Amino acid sequence: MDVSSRTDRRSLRDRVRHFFYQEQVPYGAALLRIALPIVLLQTLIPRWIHAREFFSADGAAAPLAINYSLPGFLPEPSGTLAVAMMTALIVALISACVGWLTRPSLLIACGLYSYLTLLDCVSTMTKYSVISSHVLLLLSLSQCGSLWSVDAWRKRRRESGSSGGPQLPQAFPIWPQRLIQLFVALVYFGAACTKMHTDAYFTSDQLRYWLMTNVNNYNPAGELLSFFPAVVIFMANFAIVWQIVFVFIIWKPIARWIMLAIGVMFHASTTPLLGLYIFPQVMISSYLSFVEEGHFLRVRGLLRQFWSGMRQRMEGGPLLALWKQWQPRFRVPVGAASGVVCVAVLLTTTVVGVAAESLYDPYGMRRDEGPHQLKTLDPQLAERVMAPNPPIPFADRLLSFDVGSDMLGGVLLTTQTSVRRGQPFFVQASLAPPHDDVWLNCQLRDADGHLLHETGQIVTRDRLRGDWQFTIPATSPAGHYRFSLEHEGQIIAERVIEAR
Amino acid sequence: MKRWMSNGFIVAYLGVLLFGIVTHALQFHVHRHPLTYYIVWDMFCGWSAWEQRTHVIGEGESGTLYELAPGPWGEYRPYGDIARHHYDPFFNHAVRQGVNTLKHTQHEPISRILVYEEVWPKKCNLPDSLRQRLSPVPQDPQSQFQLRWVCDADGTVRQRNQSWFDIQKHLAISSNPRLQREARPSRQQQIMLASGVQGQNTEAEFPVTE
Repeated sequence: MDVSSRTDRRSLRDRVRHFFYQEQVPYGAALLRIALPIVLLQTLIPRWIHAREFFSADGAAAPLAINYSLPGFLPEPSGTLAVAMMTALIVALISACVGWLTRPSLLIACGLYSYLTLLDCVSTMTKYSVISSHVLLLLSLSQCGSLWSVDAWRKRRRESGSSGGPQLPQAFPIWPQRLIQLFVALVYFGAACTKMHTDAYFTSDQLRYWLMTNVNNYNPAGELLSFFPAVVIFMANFAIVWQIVFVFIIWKPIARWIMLAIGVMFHASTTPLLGLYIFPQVMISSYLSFVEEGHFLRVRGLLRQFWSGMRQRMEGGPLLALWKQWQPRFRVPVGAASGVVCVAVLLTTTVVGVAAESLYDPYGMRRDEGPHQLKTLDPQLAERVMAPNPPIPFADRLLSFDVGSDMLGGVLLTTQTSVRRGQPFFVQASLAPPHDDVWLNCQLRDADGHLLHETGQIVTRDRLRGDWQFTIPATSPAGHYRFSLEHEGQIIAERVIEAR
Repeated sequence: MKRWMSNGFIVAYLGVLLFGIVTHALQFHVHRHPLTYYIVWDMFCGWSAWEQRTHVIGEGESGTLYELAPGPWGEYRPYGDIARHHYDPFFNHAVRQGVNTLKHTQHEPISRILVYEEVWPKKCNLPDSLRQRLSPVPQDPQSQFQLRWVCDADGTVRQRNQSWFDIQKHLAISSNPRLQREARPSRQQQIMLASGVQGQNTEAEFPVTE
């Protein structure tokens, strides 16, 4: 065998081994362990009181497996058991967050979270819940509880008793944290594959309509952005390139921070643009896995420098005196945080949770006046629902009718209300799918209503746009001109432009 | 031993993730099993120009219509300003929500549960200030309703209909006389019965009428 190839192979093996088994203090994993449960608790606490309805056989669970024609894939728990599981999940997440029996807490949280989300694909399971399940599983394999945790504090108390001094943070093989990093990168790569399968993603159509959707939270910036398809096209193309290259260049020291900064901006912008709150929090939290020992120590050094400077400046001031006076001085007996106590807390909280939910009586079955009466349907809605559908006006199938000078990806770059005489410009009709094969007529009239030009085209059902190029001759008078879009002899839309 | 186990886990885990990406990229067995949802990253895969809502209605024996979702004990809004039952785009879980409401309420005997799909153009969602910039300026939405399910009070299915989108998609081409001639449902049925082969359309079938 060629010696050089053997050396290369060995070095590759060494590099892979170093990549996965380099020993580091798991600062990033510990930060993620603290952050992710806080994010998930925001979604789980409001659902707790609905656990019986959403996750149990005594409610209207919505198992994901039904969408795959596999009913019965997972057993549905009874109402009481579902409430107990939801309570235990919340306790396990809190326990994981504070690092109390970290590994079992994370394992319990991962198991219960995945199971319960699979039982409610309508209002609990989304891709952020799937990503969270993966991260919880990988965190449970890591040593994320060795830092900033009750476990670490207990261990320190025990060991400082025997060795007589504080212990330094311990380093461990980094592979679970590496798997989280790879997971995040592969999620982006997979998401890019999805976009490649979606033609309308690149023409802005998919995103424009998503920006107008009212199924997520209020997104006023998104509604406004839907009027700038060129910006949407640019952002869409930038996002897909970023998602594809992420997995390849996130490992380079400087590129890592640039990629993550772009990611934070990208995810944070989905709140005002799409009304998403939890998904960006989950993804930005998962970026904490990219914080490695060297990065953390550098940032901590800077913060310590900053803090000591602040302290010197505040020395003798009232704030520092107040802090010294009030800083916590408590001692908790080591036994108080033991595993037995943790299990006891888990069990007690679960029992209390079940009892509280039973007392709350979410369906109101034990009310003095008896169970709830059914609400009669709003008569106006009943009339609309039962009446035959009116024909869909063609105007409803038309998103917009605009004038602009330039096109990007087949879409008007900007819309405008004035054009220059002698220079070509475009008139574009954007249709909403599904629509028939249609003949659209575009007419140009002067300010007095005289027809100057008429042209038509077939827009087949697979196309979402019909566009025409016009030029108002330089010899024509300046002033206002009117474009009309006609379908089956009826004017559907009009645009008035000023020719300068 | 510990190192072997961690090596094995790393290889298996990355293998599963890569399997998900490859199957998704090649569109191979993507929707075969619910667990593929854990390895396929198809966020933003679907889109529509029409806003969709769900109405779960109970019809009493007296003919009175009742609202079955949300239940009278209150609604939960999981991701925005609309109730839970609206987040069921395939209408696979709406009937069960209706049955659950019936199970936990007082009511006259219910003869049918009806599940309707409501759609309207998304451009009508825009605030007035932005609507004015569109031509034509969208008027108040004229919703279209499509009956998706008819069930007994216990959830037994009596009728299941295509989605409004499927019907619209097919109506767009059903005016073509050549396709109408070629897509004779009776002929398909005769061939299937003769061969004994069971098959299912992966696409919705050609609608006879609307």
